Formats: sequence, C-alpha cells, structure tokens
Amino acid sequence: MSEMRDQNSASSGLRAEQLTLTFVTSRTTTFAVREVSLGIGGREFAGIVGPSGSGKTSLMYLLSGLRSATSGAVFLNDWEYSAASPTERLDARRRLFGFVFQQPFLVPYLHVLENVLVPIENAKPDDIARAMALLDSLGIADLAHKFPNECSGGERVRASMARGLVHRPQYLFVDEPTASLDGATGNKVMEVLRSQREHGSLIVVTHDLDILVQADVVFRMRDGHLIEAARPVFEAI
Amino acid sequence: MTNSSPPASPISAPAVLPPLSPLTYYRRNIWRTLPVGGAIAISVFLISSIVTLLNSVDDSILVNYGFLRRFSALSTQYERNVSSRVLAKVKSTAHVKSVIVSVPYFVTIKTVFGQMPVPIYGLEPKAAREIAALSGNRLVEGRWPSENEPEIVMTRTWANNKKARLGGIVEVSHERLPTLKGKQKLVGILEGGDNIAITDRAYVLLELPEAVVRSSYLFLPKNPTELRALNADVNRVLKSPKHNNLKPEETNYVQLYTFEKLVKELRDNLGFLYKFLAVADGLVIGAVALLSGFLANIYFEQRLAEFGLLSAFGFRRERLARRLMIESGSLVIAGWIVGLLLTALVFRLLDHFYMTPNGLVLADIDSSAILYTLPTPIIVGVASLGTVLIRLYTLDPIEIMERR
Repeated sequence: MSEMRDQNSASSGLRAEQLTLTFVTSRTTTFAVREVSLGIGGREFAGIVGPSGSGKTSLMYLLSGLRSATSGAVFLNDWEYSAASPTERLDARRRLFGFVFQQPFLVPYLHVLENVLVPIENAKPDDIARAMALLDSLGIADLAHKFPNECSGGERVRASMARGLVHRPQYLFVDEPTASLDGATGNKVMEVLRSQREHGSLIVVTHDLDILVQADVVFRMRDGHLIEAARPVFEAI
Repeated sequence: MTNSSPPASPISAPAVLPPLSPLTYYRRNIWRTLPVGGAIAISVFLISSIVTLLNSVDDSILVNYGFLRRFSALSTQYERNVSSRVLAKVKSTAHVKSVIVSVPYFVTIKTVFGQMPVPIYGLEPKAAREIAALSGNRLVEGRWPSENEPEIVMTRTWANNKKARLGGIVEVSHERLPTLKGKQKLVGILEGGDNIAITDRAYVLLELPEAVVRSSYLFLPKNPTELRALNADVNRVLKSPKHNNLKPEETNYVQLYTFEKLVKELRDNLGFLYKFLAVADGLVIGAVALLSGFLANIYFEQRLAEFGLLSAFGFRRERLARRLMIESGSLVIAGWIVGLLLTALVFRLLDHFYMTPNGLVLADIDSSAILYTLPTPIIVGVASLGTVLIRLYTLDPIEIMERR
C-alpha cells in the first residue's frame, strides 16, 4: 500500500485516498494505479514522475476526475469530488480545472486565439486580452490569427498551454509539457506554467526531472504504486 | 483569485468569433456544410416541384372547366338529342331557373400534361351574352359573333393558348376531334371570369359533321348557390326513371356534366399519381436521410477530437448535444427553406415567362407541396442527429485524446 501525504494539504487542496484503477479483461486484471494516497496543497507545484507505464498519467486522470477510480476517493478542498454526480464533477472540472494534454489538440477551424478561448463560454474583452497576453508570454502572439495547420507542433503545444491557463483554473494538470519543445522554449514555457501558482496549483506529469526544479513536491510512481513523495525535488530524486 | 501574470499583451487582439457557436462552425466550414444543405435543398426542390406539377394537372382541369361552377350541362352520348320527356321532367325540378340550348364542339388546348379537350358552345346571340356574363366575363375587345358567320369569342387565356389574335383564325387543323369544316375567326376577347369560348349556334349546326352534332342543355340555377341542389334533382330524375314516369332507355345515355363530378373523377384519376408520388417521396427522403446520416457520421468522426476535448474540459454532454442539434437543425431547416424558395422562384419565373403568355395553367407552390417536403428535413434531422447523439453520449474523452 502506498500512502504518502503532503502535510501542508491535509484539509485544503486536492487529496487522494487509496486510489486504485484496474483494467479487467476476461483473463487478467491490470492495476494502472494501486492504492495511492497523496495530497497537493493550494498553489503548490506538484510533479508526478515515473517511467513509461508506471501509472502517472492514469493518476492524473483519476485526480482530475477524467476517469473514475475502481476504488478510493478524491477530495477537492474536503469535498469528496469522486463521489459527486457526473454532472457535478463535470461542472467542477470546467470551473476549477485546466488541462494541457500530451497531444495538443486544437480545434482545426478555429484561430489559435479562438482555440485559447474555448474553455470560456462567453469570452469578454478582458478574457481576450488575457488570452493574447498568454500567447505573448509564450512567444506565439503573432500566431493568434493563424489556424492550427499553419503552426508547428511546438507552437500548438504552447497554444494548448495558453488554453489551459486562460480561465485561471484552481488546478492545472499538464501532461509532458516539454516533450516536443527545445530546451530554451521548454524553460520559457515552464516559467509561464509556474505563474499558475499565483492563483492555483500546478500538477505536471513528466519524464523530465529538469522541469521540476522548482516543484514543491514530486510524486514518484512505479508499477502503479506511489513509491515516493518528496520535497525539495533535488533532495528527493 | 488574484489577477496574475502574464501582463496585458501589447499586441492588439484580432477579431474573434465565439468558438463554440454553430455559426462559427458554418463560417469556417462552408464547403463541408454546403453539400449537405444542398442535398436537402435539391431533394426538397424535386419533391415540391413534382407536387406542384401534379397540382398543375389538377388546376389545369379545374380552371379550364371552371365554367361548370356556374351551370351544368345535360347531354347524351349516343342519341342525337335528349328526349323531350326527359327534358321536360328535369326542367320542372325546383332549382332550375332556365335552360339554354347549345350545340357544342370540342377543340383541344395545351396543358402541362398535354392536350385537353374543351367545349366551344354554339349559342344564339342572346344566350351567348347570358352565358358569358354568367361565367363572370365581359367583352373587352372586338365584338360578338354574327349570326351564321364562322366567328368566335373566347377568353384571353384560351386565345393565348390557341395562339389566336383578334381578327385572326383559330387554328383547328391539328385537332384530332371531329370539328368544324370551315375555319373560324376570333372576333372578340372575353376577360374577367372562367375560361369559355362561344360561337354562333346556327353556324355550328351548319358546319359541324352531322354525326357529332349533339345538343347540350345548359341548366342555370335560380341562385348560384343552388347549383348543387339543381344537380342533385336532375341526377335523381336520371337515376330513377321509373319513379319519374320515364323509360330507362330514355335516360340511359343522358349525362349531367357537373363541376362536382369533374372534381371527383379528377381526384380518382390523380389518386394513383399521388400514391406513386408518396412512394417516390419516401424513396427520395430515405436516400437523402441515409446520405445525410452517413455524412453526419463522417463529420462527427472528423470532429470527434473536438467533442472529446470539450467533454474533457467539463462541457456537459447535454450542452454538446444542444450545439449539435442547433448545428444540424439550422442546416436542415436552411436547406428546406432554400429548397422551397427555389421551387417558388423557378415556378414563378416559368409561369411569368412561359406559361401565362401561352395560356397554360401552372399551380403555385402551396401547402400540399410544402407538406410533402416536410418529412425530408424531419427524417434527415432525426437520421443525422440520432446516429451522432448515440456516439456523443458514448464517447470517452480520454480514449479520444490519447488516440491522437
């Protein structure tokens, strides 16, 4: 059983208790995540690391409610989020969470700026200004009026990051943010992502330990187990 | 929440469209949506055109025989004349105001379904004026036919149909029906009422081949609203000769030509065509619905990631379904309206530039045509949405996001 808590987040923030996710076929039962307990405090930068197939992305899906756990619970500021109705979970996800997926899917018929504004139902001038500011800080403001097929893979990743940040989510989940970026751009992107801490938590799933330099806590996964939770990062890993 | 970095961008924002608005999708995907909307519009155009053409068949007959709403005609097929006993009996029925004796002959006029015979009544001068007035017409050009002269007056529509000009000859050389031996001159144009053509009775008796000369007795009601009752009285006499002290052989070949009978025969004859139309309508709708269903699925497949993403972001399925319904619904309704407008426009132009100048009757697009097209948008909408909504409600956003 893995049970590791960050003491700062016992009652606020995001908390997982005994989370387990299994995939059952007629012959086998595979544990993607096995009895993981952890806590991420408000405005913390948390990293989830581990080798491929260790369950880190699955853990992110469970924490964010994108997937329901086979057993265990997720608490959001002491509210048992995982036990809420699907509608409540959807509403909370929309209001409180932001996502940057590994594949930076952008809606092909929308401009980059319009793509960034997708999480906001009725964008106001302030939202548009913020979206533009995010694109500017990510170095792609000049692509605002371009369509995704006119952008490179790295530019699309950055646009998807702006989209994840634009509605100031309380929790931003980011999956492998620098995988398709060069070192300099990766650093720049991480700087912008870290700005998320000004209004919420940042949860980054990655192979790249370098980008977790300033993380408050790093959770290490292996074979579905949480084997280590450590801070500061460099002492733990 | 604090207003955090990054600071406002110095770069001005380009104009943005609401990302999740159906209109945004259409504006940016016009070449994808046009074929679906176009297919719906064309099928609606085809269906409403066929119905309107069928209605034109109906209208052609009712308009060209509209004079039978003013009087009914009693005639016989194999005997030269209706017997005087029968005539006396029907004349004595309650609603008969007067009986005008005519000698008709037939010419054909062009219609949307081909040539159609219409009668030209040979009447005495006084009766000619009475029948013209009764059918709502007045002489607007020329004069009435002179006695014993090969002269004719007719409504402008029939004159146009026969391509006859005032003072010119009414061409009958192509007629298949037994007609006058000599040519007739158009001396007057009637306007304002039902189509009718009148010539001089004495001339018809003189010039019509003897074998086809028949008297037709035009029964005028005391009041226009009594024509139906008059017809019922006359038919009662014809159907029950014994009760009226008549011999069956006297009434066997006597017929009363009425507007109601015409309408009934027309509806019976067109009934099959309307049934055929319903089957054709069903096939067209089925094909278009199938096509639309396939296309909707292809589009949805192409947009699966978009909906998966929105679902992952926390947009409710109901919200996404509503968007799809608005998108599909507005496209289907737009296609339907365009199809109907196209039909109305094409038929209006056809009527203005070809049919009316040639004295042909073309129906307007009406509620029956619209009714026949209504299943198209409904079935297409249900077929497209049904298949897509099932997929929307079963999609797993993670599976979709990880697939790409």
